[in-house]
Amino acid sequence: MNAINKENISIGKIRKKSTRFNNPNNLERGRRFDFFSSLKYQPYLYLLPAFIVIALMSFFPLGYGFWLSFTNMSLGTFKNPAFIGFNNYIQLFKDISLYATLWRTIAWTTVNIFFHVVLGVALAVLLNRKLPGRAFFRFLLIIPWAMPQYIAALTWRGMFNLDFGLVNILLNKIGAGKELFYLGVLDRFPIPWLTNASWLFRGAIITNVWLGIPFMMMIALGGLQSIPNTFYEAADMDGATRWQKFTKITVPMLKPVMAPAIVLGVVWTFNMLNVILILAGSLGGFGFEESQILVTEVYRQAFSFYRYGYAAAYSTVVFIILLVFSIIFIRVTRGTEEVR
Amino acid sequence: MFKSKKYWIWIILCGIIIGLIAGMVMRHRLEYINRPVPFAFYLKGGIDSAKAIDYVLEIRSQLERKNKELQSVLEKYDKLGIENLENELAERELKKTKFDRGEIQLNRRELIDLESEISNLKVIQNYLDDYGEADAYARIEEDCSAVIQLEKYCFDEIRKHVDTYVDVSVLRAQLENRGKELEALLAAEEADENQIKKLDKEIKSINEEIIKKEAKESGIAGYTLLMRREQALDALISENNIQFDPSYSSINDFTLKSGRVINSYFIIYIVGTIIVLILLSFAYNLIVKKIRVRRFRRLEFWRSRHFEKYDSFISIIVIYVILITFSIVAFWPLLNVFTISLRPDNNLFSTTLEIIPKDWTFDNYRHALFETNLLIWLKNSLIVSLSVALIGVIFSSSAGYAFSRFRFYGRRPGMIVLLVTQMFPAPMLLLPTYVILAKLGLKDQLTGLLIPYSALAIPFSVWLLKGYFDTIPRSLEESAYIDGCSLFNTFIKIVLPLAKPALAIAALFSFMAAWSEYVIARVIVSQADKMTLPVGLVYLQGEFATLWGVYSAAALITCIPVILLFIALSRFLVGGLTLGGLKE
Repeated sequence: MNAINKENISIGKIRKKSTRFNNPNNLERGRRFDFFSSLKYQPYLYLLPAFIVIALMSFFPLGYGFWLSFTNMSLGTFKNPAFIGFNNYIQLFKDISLYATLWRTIAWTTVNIFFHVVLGVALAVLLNRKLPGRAFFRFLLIIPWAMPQYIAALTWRGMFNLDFGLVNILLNKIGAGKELFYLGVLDRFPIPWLTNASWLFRGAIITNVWLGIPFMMMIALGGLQSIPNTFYEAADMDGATRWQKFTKITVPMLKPVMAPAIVLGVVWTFNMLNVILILAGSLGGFGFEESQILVTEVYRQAFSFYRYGYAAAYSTVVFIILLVFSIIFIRVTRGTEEVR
Repeated sequence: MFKSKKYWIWIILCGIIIGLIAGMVMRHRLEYINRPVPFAFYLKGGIDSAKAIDYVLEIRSQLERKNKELQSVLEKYDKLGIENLENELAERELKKTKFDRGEIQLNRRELIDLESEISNLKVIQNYLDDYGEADAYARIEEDCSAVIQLEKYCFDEIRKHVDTYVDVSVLRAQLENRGKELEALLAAEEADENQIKKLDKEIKSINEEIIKKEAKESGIAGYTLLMRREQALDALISENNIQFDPSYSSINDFTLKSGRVINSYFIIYIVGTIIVLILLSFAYNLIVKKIRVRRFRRLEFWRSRHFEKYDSFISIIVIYVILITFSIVAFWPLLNVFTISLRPDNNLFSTTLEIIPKDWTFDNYRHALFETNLLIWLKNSLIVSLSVALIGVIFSSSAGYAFSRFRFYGRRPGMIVLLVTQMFPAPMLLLPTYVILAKLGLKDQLTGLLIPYSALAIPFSVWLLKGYFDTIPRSLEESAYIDGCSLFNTFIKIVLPLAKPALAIAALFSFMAAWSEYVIARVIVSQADKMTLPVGLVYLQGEFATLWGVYSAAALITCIPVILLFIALSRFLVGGLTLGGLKE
């Protein structure tokens, strides 16, 4: 087996060599020889196990869900759902609350990702300096990531308690609550974090921002450490200010590292089910309509109203929105890279 | 220094921030004047009447207490004069400490009297400190009447609110009108269906509103109590001959007035802070300029060795302050869990901020470990998570290797498919997953959890590993290959050992994904002895009021292994976390 393979390669090598210099793409890559490209069936063998699992647990469910979205499956018609065409979708788009929820989801994602990226990069920049106790700070700052998500959400739920929660006690103790209240920033005090829909939503945002910063921070830190120090030294020679160094060296060098992380972050935040559901206090999916995002609404429709068909249509729409966003984002970021 | 624009911007910014904070902290003496302010906002916020009444009752009782206190203070003031105030206070406090030590005996009545006298004297002293000897008496009197006035205004406001709130007659009239319209529409031959639906909806919503309001009416039993108190207050006003200050006619005027007071306070604090900052920076400059050359040299050397070259001391301090603040925010929830887990059952709900409660016990831990199924859940979770980590790393490293090294048909689509799997809304995968696992006979088994968890963990790991493999130079493998090593062997013997950091991270994330997954486990597992930690913990936490402490202990026990893992692997986290990304 081994010997045969080897021979194949050597033949491939010669064959390729003859066309290599005629092909400008190959010249650009500048590789002398590329034995990996001659092994035609190997990559699929390597991919097989992972893709069987993913196909079984992600793509089959997706297809099933897509089929479900054209049926009227609910608790009553669980055994023999009828095919009803696009009725679920029509009903969905006629529902005004969809648009409100969509806007809320967009706001949720933007605010979360903005704070994740800005605070994450800022902390990474600070942690990337020569600083005694840097490892200790890194350890402390990483804790939100190390805590299992549901425990973090449950803990925040405890902290948002009206009378005995840490947040209200703290606001009360430093007197800021009353001040903000007086200035009109807060409409009431103590803040009913868990019993008022809009405050619940804000609480969920705080929780999720807290949860997501370390991920971006570590990605940015990895990116920062890969920037060669010579760039900064050269900038110092030219008398660049700190801000100039940050905008002209750090940001462009971080961009390729952060772009995929931001795509992933947006997708995860958009699909963040745990935080809102757990904060709302029941995974049965109750809670307020005014604090739901699209995914939690899907969960509500499916598992507390048992409208499986409708929920499937809902989730198909969510999926398409995310897909379109990702394609656009990837195109745009790659476009900027080429220009640069 | 004074000429640069930057300097002034910084000074003013810092001044405003510090001044605002100082203003907030130092404002406590004006507090009772502000009581009605929250109240007015409270009413505007559209709180239901039952709560508003509770609130006003609370304010009323506070105002009443304040009034009584001030009255007794006035009496004291008349009796004592201010000359021997301090002596009197010291004498009484001495008596109190003696009683605390058990040196003298007091009966209950005497003790209460003593305590109230001490507090009264302290109030007088506060007034003296604030306004000086000349104005203090007048000030106390003024405050006395102000308190009564405030209470009166409170009543006005609550009366107005409750009256409009409980009145449902307008709504009833609306409902009747809509009903008539609907009937007319239905009677007509060519009825517009949309309009009928719309009317139906409106009628429903009005009905709901009426029901809500009527339900709340029953919650205002406090109303009569309020009215009784108002009569008493009127009597008090006429008895004491209180003149209402003509400059305030309602609660809003108080709002405005106290607003002005506060703003001026803030301005004073801000200006003061700015002046102090300017002086400080001036002094700093002087000192640094003079001494830097000689004595600071060693310090400077130390600084340049341990910090960035161009950092000044101020920026170092600022960096530390920022890092410490964020670290506290990041760490505090965990600390909070720890605190609650140490509290004994009878002290679970307290409003103190102390980290280790005075009467701390490990009872909750004992309860969590030995009286719940925590150990079984822990075992289940460990089995599932470790196997998921193993499967995830094996499958995703081979897939990542394929994506990194080979150029084959379907490579880019394959990478994008991995990203796309992250986009499926999780709730929609639940039902099909359940159906599949039920068909495979894996429901209610730990093995059943392995497959969906691996599917959750693999895409991210593949991305991560692909990115890391990309950074490993190919020449190593190529030379091994030429020396006669098979492709599989180069992968096992050369690439994998080099990719240890990324493998560790991938294993960590797979482990974490399984360790903290809740929704799928809840659907698939229903037997108590097959539950994983998340399901078990949420089940514990469900009984919030009784088991909050036990839940906290269990949560901490769950967190600790993962956090330890994170610490152990944190040196890999920075280098190993390269998302391979979509770019070539």
